[in-house]
Amino acid sequence: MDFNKFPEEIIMAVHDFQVKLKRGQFFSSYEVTMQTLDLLVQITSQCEWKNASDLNQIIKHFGKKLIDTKPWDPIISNAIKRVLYIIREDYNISTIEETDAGIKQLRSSQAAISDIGNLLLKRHTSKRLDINRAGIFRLLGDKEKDDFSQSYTDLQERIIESINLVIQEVESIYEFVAEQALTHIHTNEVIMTIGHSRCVEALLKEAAENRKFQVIVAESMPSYAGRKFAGVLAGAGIETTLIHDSAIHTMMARVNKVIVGTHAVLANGGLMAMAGTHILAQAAKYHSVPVIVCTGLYKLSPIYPSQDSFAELNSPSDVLNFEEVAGDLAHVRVINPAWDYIPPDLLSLYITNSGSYMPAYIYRLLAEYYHPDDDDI
Amino acid sequence: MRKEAFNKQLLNLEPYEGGLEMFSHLPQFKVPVSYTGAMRADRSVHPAVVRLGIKYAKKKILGSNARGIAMLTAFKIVFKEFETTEEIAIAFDKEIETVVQFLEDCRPISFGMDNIKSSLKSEIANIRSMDLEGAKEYLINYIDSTIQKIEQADALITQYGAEKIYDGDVILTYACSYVVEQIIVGANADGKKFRVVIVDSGPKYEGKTLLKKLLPLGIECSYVFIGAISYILPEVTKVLIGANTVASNGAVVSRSGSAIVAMMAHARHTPVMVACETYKFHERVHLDSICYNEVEEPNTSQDNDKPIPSNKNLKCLSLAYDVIPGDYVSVVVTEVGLIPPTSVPVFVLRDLENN
Repeated sequence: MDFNKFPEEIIMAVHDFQVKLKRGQFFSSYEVTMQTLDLLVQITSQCEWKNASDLNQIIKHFGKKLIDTKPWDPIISNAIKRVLYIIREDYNISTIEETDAGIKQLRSSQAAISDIGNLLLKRHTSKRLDINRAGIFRLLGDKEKDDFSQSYTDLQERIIESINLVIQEVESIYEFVAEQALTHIHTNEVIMTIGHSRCVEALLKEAAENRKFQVIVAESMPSYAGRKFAGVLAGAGIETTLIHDSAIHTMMARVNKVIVGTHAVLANGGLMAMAGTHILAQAAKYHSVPVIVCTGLYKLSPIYPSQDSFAELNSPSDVLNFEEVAGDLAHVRVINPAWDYIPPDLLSLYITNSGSYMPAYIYRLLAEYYHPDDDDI
Repeated sequence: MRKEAFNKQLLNLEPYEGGLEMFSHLPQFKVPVSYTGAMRADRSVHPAVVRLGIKYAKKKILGSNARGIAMLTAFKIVFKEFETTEEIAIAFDKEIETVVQFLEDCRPISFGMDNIKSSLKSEIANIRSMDLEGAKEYLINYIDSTIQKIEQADALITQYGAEKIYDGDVILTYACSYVVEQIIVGANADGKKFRVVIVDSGPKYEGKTLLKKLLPLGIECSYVFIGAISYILPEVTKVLIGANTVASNGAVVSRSGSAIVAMMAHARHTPVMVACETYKFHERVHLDSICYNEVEEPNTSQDNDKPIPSNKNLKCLSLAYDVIPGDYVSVVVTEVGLIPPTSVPVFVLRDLENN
């Protein structure tokens, strides 16, 4: 695999992406995911590769570069691992179709295998790798650990189509989340939220068209994202109250539900959410208020939390500006963490584009999106 | 607000219409353009009290200790110049009521100030038989001894609190409290090696005031906003906060945001110490932060590049106080020693018995 023979455009595009990411021109999970997926489509269509194993290596090569730009952000590696999983799946589907043709020849002589063949014909239309299918491979004598070296002509098309399906899925999460609004939000409820989450916005706007309720928004310092969100909700006709972060515990006594968005969902069902969300979750626990997380499943990450995962710090000048520190306040240590870890026992429910799940179930969803062999990236 | 309470007011204040219904039991008025101009025609208040009231309203005097001592000082001036032809006890009683009512109109008085008012009023019983000059002297001496007691209490709290700070400690405090500052300065003067984390929040940013006082003393300080509390707590060994009052059910009324600090620390089993003089303990019972609070002017923010959108559906709420449930608090540092929050009613009942 000659890494020097990549098209100029691809190398420029990757470099461009890295620069924009470093400069913070986009950082929300949605934007990062869409940009990464677009880039991967470009790589898949423009780079030269003979088989799935080659493509795998190319994606991992560029993937490592992208992840190194922001090693603490799981969203980029989510998108890359998703695409790697798609490559595996589509390779297996192509293999089945080939094997399927082979089975048709054997069918006349072995009746038992024809049943399996029918099963395969039916199954290959769905885009999922079932455990059953793996079992059938063993029956047919294929090795379970494929080295992905077979070339298929339709593989590139298939992979690009699959990635585009994922892009469409990510674009449409807000509609699917909003569909579940009326199940969870009822008349005269008081809902509390923090910051500005597009998922929560979609959910609340949909509910507001049918029911009357109140929302309390914490303004979330130092980004003050809550202020804009409060304006957006008020504009949609929802009775909104904007409170300071310090009043979260105070107002929780009157709240019926807490609904928050998140930056990433971790494999244990916990959250990597904006700084301040842990306060809401903990106060909700004290007052026995359910905490609902609104998110798209593209944010689900196959990593478990560790002390280092939450090391991203934003500029301290948002907290104490440089003029102040240069004057009387020299020698002060100012910290402005970007994210909070919220353990799964503080959460009640995840509302996602593919349905509602409890935090303890989240790890099961990993098997549908990621493969453990791709963890080394 | 109840009609009787409204009629007792000395200032003609316009009710603030945009407030939240759930706080309709608390006074919410628009800030008058001029306090002297808003005064009711048939009442008069001593100019020293007017000056003090305006200082309270403009938040020039912050912190329940400072406010209490300022009120006592104002009372001394009022009593010195007091003239009356009525019966001594009734006259003084009315005067105390008038002064406190004016201060209440400017800014709701703290519970410590309420206790001071009650104790002053109960001293009236002792001046019944005196003449005017004698009564004045008696009351002024009483005020002097009260101020002295408060200062002695602060000194003792500083001592007990500083004893509880060990070398290598990381003390977390919220906003700015006079007693907490004294404890930290005291421990530093004792030569202890520790560092301080100051948690702050808008719109007042009182933590910056504390930061400016501690940094010049060479104390290692960190400064974070309240959203970072989850990140910073693993480093912290003790939490030390001040209080406006401690209620009879052990709940601590303190600056808005303290409940969050205490709750997060409690979840990590970090000890939470509350420093409060016993004169501030009150017989009221607080179950949550809504039953008693002070609603402040909304839209008070330093950030003008992130303006609050204006919309008829959007209300802004700015609360002054927070109630920390007794379960979050490990110990209350007072001038009689370190007591659990559940022992607070003992002092309240003792004072009620004495009065």
